[in-house]
Amino acid sequence: MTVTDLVDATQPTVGDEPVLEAVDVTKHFTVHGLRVGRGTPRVVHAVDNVSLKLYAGRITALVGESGSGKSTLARLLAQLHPLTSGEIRLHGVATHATHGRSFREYARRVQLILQDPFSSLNPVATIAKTLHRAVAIHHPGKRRAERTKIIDDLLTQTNLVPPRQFTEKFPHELSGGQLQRISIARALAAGPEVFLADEPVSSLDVSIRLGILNLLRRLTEERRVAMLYVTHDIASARYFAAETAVMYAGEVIESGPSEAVTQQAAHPYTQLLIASAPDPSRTGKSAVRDIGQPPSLIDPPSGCRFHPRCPYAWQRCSTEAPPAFPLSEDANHTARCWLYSDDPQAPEKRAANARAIRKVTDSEGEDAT
Amino acid sequence: MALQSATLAESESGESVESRNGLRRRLLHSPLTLTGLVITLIFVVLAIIGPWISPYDPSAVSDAALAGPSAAHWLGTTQNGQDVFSQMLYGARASMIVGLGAAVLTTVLSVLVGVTAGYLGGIGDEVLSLLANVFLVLPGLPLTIILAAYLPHTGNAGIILVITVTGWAWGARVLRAQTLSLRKRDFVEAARATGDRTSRIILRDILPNQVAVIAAAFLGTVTGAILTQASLAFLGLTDVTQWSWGTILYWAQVSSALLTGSWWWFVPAGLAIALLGTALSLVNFGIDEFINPRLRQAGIGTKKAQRAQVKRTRRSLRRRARRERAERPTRAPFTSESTDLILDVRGLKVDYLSGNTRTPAVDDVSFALRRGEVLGIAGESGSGKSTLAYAIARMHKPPAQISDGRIIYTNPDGSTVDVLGMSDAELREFRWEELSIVLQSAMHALNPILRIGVQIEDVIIAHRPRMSSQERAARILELLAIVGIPADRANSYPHELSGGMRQRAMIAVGLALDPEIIVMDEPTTALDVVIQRQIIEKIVELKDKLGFSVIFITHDLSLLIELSDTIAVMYGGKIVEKAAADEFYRNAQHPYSRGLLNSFPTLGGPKRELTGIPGSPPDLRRLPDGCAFQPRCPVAVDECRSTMPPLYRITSSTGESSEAACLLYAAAQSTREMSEDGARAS
Repeated sequence: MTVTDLVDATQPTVGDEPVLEAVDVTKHFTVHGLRVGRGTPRVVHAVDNVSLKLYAGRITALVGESGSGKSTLARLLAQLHPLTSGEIRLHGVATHATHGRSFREYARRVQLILQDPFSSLNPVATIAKTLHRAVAIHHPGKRRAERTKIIDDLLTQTNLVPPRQFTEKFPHELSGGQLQRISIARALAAGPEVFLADEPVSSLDVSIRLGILNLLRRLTEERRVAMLYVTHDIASARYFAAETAVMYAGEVIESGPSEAVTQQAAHPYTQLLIASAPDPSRTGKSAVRDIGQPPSLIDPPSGCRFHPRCPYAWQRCSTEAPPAFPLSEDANHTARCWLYSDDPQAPEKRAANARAIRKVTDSEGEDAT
Repeated sequence: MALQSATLAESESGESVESRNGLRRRLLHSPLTLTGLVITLIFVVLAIIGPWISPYDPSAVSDAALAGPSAAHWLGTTQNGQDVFSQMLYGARASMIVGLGAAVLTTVLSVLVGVTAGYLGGIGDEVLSLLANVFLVLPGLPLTIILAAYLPHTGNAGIILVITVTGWAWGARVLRAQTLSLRKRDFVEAARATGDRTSRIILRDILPNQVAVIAAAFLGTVTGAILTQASLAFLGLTDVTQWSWGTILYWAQVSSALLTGSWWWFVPAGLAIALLGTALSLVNFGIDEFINPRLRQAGIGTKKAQRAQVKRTRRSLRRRARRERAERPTRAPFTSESTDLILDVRGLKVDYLSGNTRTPAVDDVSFALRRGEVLGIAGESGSGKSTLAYAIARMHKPPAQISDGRIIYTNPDGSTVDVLGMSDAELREFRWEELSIVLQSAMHALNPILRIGVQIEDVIIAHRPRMSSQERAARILELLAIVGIPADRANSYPHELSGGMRQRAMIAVGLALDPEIIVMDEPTTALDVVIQRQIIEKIVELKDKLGFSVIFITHDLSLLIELSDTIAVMYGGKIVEKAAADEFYRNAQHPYSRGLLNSFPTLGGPKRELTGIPGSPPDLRRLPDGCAFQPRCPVAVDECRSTMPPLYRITSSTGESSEAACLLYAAAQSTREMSEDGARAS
């Protein structure tokens, strides 16, 4: 069984074809200057065999910690880096477009929104200049007045009204939330079918995150675009994405409907992630203990990449990489963990896992009373 | 050229009359730049109109040989009776042509090579860099002399060529390095992702951000070229019949003008070269401020605040007796009834000075920290929370200035002292002994070239000079064990540790002297949630064991509620709500606090509706009238726009009390009206 099965299993509830699809995508970055003897150059396994599907009108969350490969995957989907292996399919057609006209055509349909709005806009250009450029690329032949009208329209759509109040400003004169809206307006200029939002709210103030996320959701629904929401905040994935995929050390280890992934987390890493997130509604002490830290991606662990940290790991976990096991009837929810296999050791370990999780829930109940 | 493109960029961007006035105002504010600009312009004008206004033909001989300055010959005459003033005017043109010509060519060449090499990378970069490096190691002056000697009769063009050939490599290297760093910036990546062409990215994103460097290199080259031209001419390596300032000096020298005392012959030329060089340097210094839109607004407040800092009158205070630190008595764990104050901040006000304006970043903030308490301060960017953290330790730097308030620290023996009145020596002792700070970015707060153990040792040496090295080594191992760093990591450099380990090391440095208070400014913000959880659990465990108090500052309200005993929420430089953490979570009073609590997606329990807060946090420079939160407040009434509410004490039905700065709680009767209004408004 390959990883593809994992995603194939995630049948879309909206019965249509994916707009953008990653199939067994792998990206290894070569480490310069570090050669072991005369051997091959060392590589960072940033993304390994990941498959993901994005559907029109729906938000898919990609959750992981720093170094898990989630941002690299978003950039691979934007074709900013060439793939090591695998395919990226737009409407089912494998596309390879990293340069020249084909890349520009691809970029018109797939747009990337970056994390830090303060650094993703040219500091010495006015907002009008930045937006005029984007509009000029994707609406060639339009006159300046027409382009200005398009820009006003874009700013209005991203709730920056009145538009003229923003166009003559420089980026440092605007707040983070306003800048992120301008980044979104710039991405909208292309009229894309896919939005790849790489941590679009992480560097923003708490009170304005919600506004940006609601804007993204509205655009997704109104324009029927497919949205990839890359985040480290699994709680926001629960609220804003229909589906969630969790990445660890370059691999997708659990995926499924967001509510299932966050409420019945199956993979021990997802459980750890959820137990670690600050949540005032949970008053009990977390019973999920963590040992260690994410592995080196130059020399990832054999078998399951989480096994050195996993309290339930047994022999098999360190030798064989687990495939994706279905967890629900309709196989929407899957986890790459031997706990859910028919291995003879699995039931006992699964019971231990269930006890640990129940202890957390119990202590919550006690504290609440 | 670069100057022109900068002005072009400004006019293109459609900046209105307002910004033109701004330019003039900025110029007037920096007299040095203005002086430089005026002198340069005078020379440019003279160079252009010189030949028309010159009273004589510079080469025409006359009878008045070696005459001093007079009405007929303003600057006197040479040995052959030639008019020096006319020669100076003609010479200005030659110097300007060489200066500008060489600078334009050099700049174009270095921009082409530098930016191409930096942006394209790969083999092209290597070839171009190699070329630049070869030219860099060529000895400039000898090469110039040799080349000039081979091209004596090509006139100015030859000299321009010589200067360009020997001068372009330096600029190319600088620009290549700049381009390399710019290429990795997000806005360039964003432009690529929009589907822009490489050529346009270079023209629109890379180059405009290098204008300051290019302009500086350009002006530097003008000065250099004028000097080189003068030197070559002075050495007689150019056509000596063609007038330039250097040629004047050449003739003055070969005719022994110095010996005959005819100062008017060589002084004007020397002075002109020096003056023009100085003027160009002055323009060069000021240029960044005019080109960078961010610096344009930066005030000149820093100097003022620095002066104010020095002048700040020290309040008289009791000198704190130097004491040998005794073992801290064990105390009962912190409870909400505790009244054992350790730090009492009253009416603290911190301003940022800019020009003649004061921007209050912390405005009349008062709070009390009790022994063993974790006080959480929540706030968004621009709420003044980090300024507050620095001000408590008096680590704020100009243009920030503490303009009012008191910070009373209670020593373990019960005596009190005002931190704001401490002398520098007392302050050094107070910091780290009594109060330490753990900052957000551990990578930047740790010295990258010192081992972790050494950095902890430095703190101990500074404060415990009499401790033996064995005792120190034991203490370091103890500290590392406390924060959970394996002992063998003491010899690691910061970059060899993971983010979580570095943050632990920072906490170890903070704990080194067993302080009473630790101020933590976003200590876990840069970390992943799993590591954050480990660090937070460590802090709570240490606090219970060692009994220090914590001021924990973060924007992450849910983390703060879990961790703190008491929570203070800051908005627009003020504390708008103070309450026990449980009470705050269950029963937040201020509309801003409620909005914040309703902005967090939750993991546990059923999904609730998130309402968030409209608008964005205020700019401290332009705070709204009345209550700072009023423009975003769902229950604001007219009075909120005019009245700044103080903190009102509120007692809830369960008997818990909290404080909130909101007119909703101004008085019982008006409260009812307002909440009705509020209900209608929302």
